[in-house]
Amino acid sequence: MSASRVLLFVAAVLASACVTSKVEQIRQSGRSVTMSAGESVVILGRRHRGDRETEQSFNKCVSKSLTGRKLPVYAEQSFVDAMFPWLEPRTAPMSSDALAALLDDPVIAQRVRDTGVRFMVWIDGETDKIDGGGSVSCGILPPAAACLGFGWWEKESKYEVSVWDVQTRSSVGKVSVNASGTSYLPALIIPIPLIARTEAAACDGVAGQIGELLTPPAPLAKPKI
Amino acid sequence: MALALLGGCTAKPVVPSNEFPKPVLRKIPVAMGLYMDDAFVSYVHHDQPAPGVQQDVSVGPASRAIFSEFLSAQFATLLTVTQAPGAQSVAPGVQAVLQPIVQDVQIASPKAEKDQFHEAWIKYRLRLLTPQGQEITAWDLAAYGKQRGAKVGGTNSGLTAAVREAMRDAAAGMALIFRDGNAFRARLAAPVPPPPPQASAAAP
Repeated sequence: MSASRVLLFVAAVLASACVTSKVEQIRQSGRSVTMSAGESVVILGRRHRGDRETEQSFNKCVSKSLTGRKLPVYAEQSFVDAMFPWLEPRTAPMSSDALAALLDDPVIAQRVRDTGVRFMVWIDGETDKIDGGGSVSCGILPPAAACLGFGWWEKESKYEVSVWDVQTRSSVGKVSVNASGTSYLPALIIPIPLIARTEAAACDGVAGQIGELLTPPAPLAKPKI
Repeated sequence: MALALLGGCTAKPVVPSNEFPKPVLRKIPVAMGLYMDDAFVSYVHHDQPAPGVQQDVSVGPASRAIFSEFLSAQFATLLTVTQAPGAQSVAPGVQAVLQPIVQDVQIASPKAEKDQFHEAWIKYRLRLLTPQGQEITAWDLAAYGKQRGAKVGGTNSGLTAAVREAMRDAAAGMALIFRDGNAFRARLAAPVPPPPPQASAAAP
């Protein structure tokens, strides 16, 4: 097999299927909010619905992406535990007004201050398989194995994000993202998956918009010698 | 041989951890008693679905931990009462006594590809008693927890986490019950309603 054929094969294996992504942002004020040193953001998944829940993998993806944008991120479970039991599905505030009411309790407000969290980012949504079809069959006859067929499935990632400022007890903005794409699995001797990474596209969209709403704290200036 | 085969039909028991986060609560200035009977602290749910393996869920020890930790954070003083409060065993040094009871437990695990969650429901009843054992009021706490987990054939870690989430939900429910400390104290100060009259067997 020539080198060009090997490269073509590797490119086909690594190729991804197309994803269509739509991102919308609503800002409460015209400009982004600049964070101060010592302040951090926490990414929280909504868990109040019985039949669905934002995936931990999505929250981790957004957290990692924000960290890459120099925004200090507080670990979700540590924050939920620190605020126990006020961020459980039954008690978590569903609006910035409910957050303000919760923070009227001085004990709770002090605990939030102790954590250093300034912004709460609530993520509500999920990635679902909405359609699929085809079939792939594989067989083994030692010493050989082979697959034949064609499979496909369509996924949709829909997330809504609310960003709240704990200091001003108000909403900073909202982001919604809808990413969909179809993955293919053609198999002629070996299966070659062409995956539409809708969750990753939605994660990039959400993190990019939060990065526009919030500006990381300025790095500390080095002392002049 | 038969015993060994039967043993294969019982899943590894679910035993949730007794460690819970320290609650963030404003203390109510009341000396409260806490009575947990043996049935509560040793409660085990035996789940036997019609087609499926038996699953035991240890509910008592972790329930004891969450109720003790929550109520000790909620009240200025919490004293453990070892005997059921009654006319012969008045709970000493407390203004009232709380008694949690497990009424029902249900669990569910994913059974098909589209099912995503392990789920747990625990129905608690929290009785508020006078030191003499008379019921002032009672609250039903329907606690629910869910956890994404392995599909059919997975380990029981997802179910364990769901049971634990249900216990955290019970704590959230109690936080809402006791959130208005002044209203709770006013209720304690109000006269206790007389118990309903017993039905007479010799009624005409």
